[in-house]
Amino acid sequence: MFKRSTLRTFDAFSKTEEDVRIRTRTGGIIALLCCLVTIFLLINEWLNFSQVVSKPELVVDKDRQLKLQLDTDIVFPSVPCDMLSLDIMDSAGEIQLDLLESGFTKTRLDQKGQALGSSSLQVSKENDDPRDENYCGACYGARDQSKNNELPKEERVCCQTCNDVRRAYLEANWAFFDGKNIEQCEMEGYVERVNQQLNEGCRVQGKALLNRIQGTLHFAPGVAFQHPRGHFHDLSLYQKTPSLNFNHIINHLSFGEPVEPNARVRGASVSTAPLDGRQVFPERDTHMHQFSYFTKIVPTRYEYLDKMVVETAQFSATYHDRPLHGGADHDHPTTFHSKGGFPGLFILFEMSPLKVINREQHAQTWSSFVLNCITSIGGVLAVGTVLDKITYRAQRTIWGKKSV
Amino acid sequence: MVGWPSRRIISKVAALAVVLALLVSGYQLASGYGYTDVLSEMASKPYRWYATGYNPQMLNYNVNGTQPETSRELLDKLRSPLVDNELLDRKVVDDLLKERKQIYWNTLHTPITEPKVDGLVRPGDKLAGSSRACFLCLVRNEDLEEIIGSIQELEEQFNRDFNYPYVFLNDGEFTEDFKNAIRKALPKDRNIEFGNVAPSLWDLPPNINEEEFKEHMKKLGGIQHADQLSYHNMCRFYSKSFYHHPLLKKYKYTWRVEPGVHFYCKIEYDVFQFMQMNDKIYGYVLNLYDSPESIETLWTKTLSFLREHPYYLNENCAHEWIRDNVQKPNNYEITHGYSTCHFWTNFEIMDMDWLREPAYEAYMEYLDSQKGFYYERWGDAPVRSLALALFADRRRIHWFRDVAYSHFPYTNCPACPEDSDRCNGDCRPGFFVPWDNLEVENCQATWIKYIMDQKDLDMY
Repeated sequence: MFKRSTLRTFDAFSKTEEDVRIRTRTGGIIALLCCLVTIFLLINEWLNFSQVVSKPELVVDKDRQLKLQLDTDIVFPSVPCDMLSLDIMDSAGEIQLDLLESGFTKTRLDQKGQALGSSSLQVSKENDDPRDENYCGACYGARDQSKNNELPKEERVCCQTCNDVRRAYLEANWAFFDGKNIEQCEMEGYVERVNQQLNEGCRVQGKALLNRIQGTLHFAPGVAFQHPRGHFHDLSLYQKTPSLNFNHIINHLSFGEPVEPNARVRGASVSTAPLDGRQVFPERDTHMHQFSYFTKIVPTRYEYLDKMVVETAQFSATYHDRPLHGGADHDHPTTFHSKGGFPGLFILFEMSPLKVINREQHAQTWSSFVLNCITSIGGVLAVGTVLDKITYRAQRTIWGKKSV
Repeated sequence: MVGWPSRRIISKVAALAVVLALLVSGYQLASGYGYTDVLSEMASKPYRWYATGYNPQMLNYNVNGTQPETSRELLDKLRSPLVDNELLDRKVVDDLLKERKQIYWNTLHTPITEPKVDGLVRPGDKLAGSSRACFLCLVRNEDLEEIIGSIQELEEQFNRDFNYPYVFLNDGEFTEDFKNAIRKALPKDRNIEFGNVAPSLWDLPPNINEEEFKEHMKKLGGIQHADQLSYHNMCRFYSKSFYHHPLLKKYKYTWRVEPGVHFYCKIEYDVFQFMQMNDKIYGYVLNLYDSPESIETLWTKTLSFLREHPYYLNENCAHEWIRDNVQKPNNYEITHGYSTCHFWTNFEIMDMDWLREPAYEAYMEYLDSQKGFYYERWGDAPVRSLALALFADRRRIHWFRDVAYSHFPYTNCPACPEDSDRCNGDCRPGFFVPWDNLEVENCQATWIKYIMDQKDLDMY
């Protein structure tokens, strides 16, 4: 269809006859140099192309109705296991009390840090009650038992077990201490056990589920009690024993699903456990101190090239500790701590509304790679042409028309 | 000058230039890899270069240059307590203990960053990561999570910039899951080797009767791990066989890492190059007293070994540290003359070539023949510490003050200068143990007072 001459008009690369071309030695050298540089650049491009980068993206977190898992392993060398309780309160009003009785392992530690056993001290869970049927335990004044003689047996106000007496005392806001001289507790051996274990430590390990909103997780001494007036702990025994305090070693604390080992150093565990190994043993007496960690949790997702997806949560933590009596510390005399509260370890967590998605991608696509290659070849050759022209002219001018 | 110079001259000049370039780059390479230093070291200290791989029968004494009179003096000293028992009344002991506490407190609260020596190899230097060294982890499959935690902290604080390889050993077989998890937890270019310990190096040797072992262990009821045969096997392996393992034969230095440990400060120089350049054969962090019941006859047996081979004693050995009877006199009595001070070997940076020398090998053979690894509960820590304290010059043992390390329940936490962010603040400077009654187990003050000199203390 097209005659030869039509295509010819499009040829941008017009060629000259062999005899009219001038070949010079410097031209050869420059051409070889350009070849080397081009090869070097092409290799670089190729290495760049095979690189995989992780590009982060911020999106608004859409998974807010799912629960967040908490995984913890903390050692308290100066609080006995049976005195320790763990409660979780969040701003939705949900309260999980006494978590250490279910889902957590408490290991008692002796004065040298050796594990003594992981049985938790159960306060009267035994069912075999050797006492007779008509036994109605005294509440020691915590509950009104004056009308018991007139009432039938089922409606009598009785405190049958040590636990019942303890609850009655809590409700009446009385100090229970170690249950001394309370018949039910003495019979169950509770008093003896508590006093023997006063100089032990405790290691707490376990998982819990949290709502994805602001909340507080706290380890505190004494049983927790929820009252219309608020959340209380029975601090009587703790206050009576000044050697107790909440110095701790955080072996592990993380939120979200644990990151599988095979995703770990592909970046996925960058900040999932920044508090691991943290030892808090201040030099001053911390018997009536409250330790707090303010943590902000950022949900993170990692998407890898091989389609593996890892959902986890990173967090950053700020540490603070204050004495309950308030007042100023010697290192900042013009800043005052607030007064009140109860001793313990508080972890205040807050969820960030933003989620970070890290996507693994190739640094360049095929088309950009090809484009880069072509550009580098073209550029190098263009520069080479200019260099060659300059050297030829220079040689001609300096050494005259002598053949080079 | 007019005209292009003649072809011959140009080619001669070009040839000369090429030869010069080759020479210069060759020298640069050689100096970069430290060969020129080694050459100069060999020229100045020929004795040490010829001393390794040595056969003691060739030299009937003076392997370390110890004269027989010095050995005898040292042996006598070793049999006597550090402080005369008559001088030790209540008040003197209290004063000495207070002084030691103060020494430890002062040393740990002096802000330090790193050794103040020349030639520290930084990340990115030519020598960084070029030592023949590896990390050693003897773990079981169930320790996976904990060892990954330790390794990740180690990578973050040190090995990310130096890329030293890892060797994992197990007395059983590693599962594929374990190996994959470790490989994926470490950067791609890390060299990781998995091996298992041959039964000949691990299991009960033929001279031990299992029934007798159980009898003896019943007597040692209260001691930790006494009843676990695998623990005894491990102690024996770590004492006498680990540096003979095929995977470790090619390395000179090894850094032992255990599961569940924490590192709180960055180490910004190559520790293996530091040890090589400063002639150190052993690096440790924590220095403790041991339970004397577990090593009741270790010292007396060591003394009889020394009587037979007095030439192994080093004239500058750390004998005061071994003889301390002040802080824990009960320990000194039960072991009949050993303070029970030892390096806590769950962290150690060891020059295995020193272990391969005749003194240590002979000592290990002897101890093995005395069956104490099984009929008592000799740990690898007191055994190695005794060997180092007796057969090595005290200046070759290094306390890594700047490494903030914690293995339950003991911690070494240095103080940092105010503007330094080398440490992540998760340990309290000077903190040693959470339980006050365990503070007395710290033997570091004894080491500082009697073994370290001002030059060692000023190194930081």
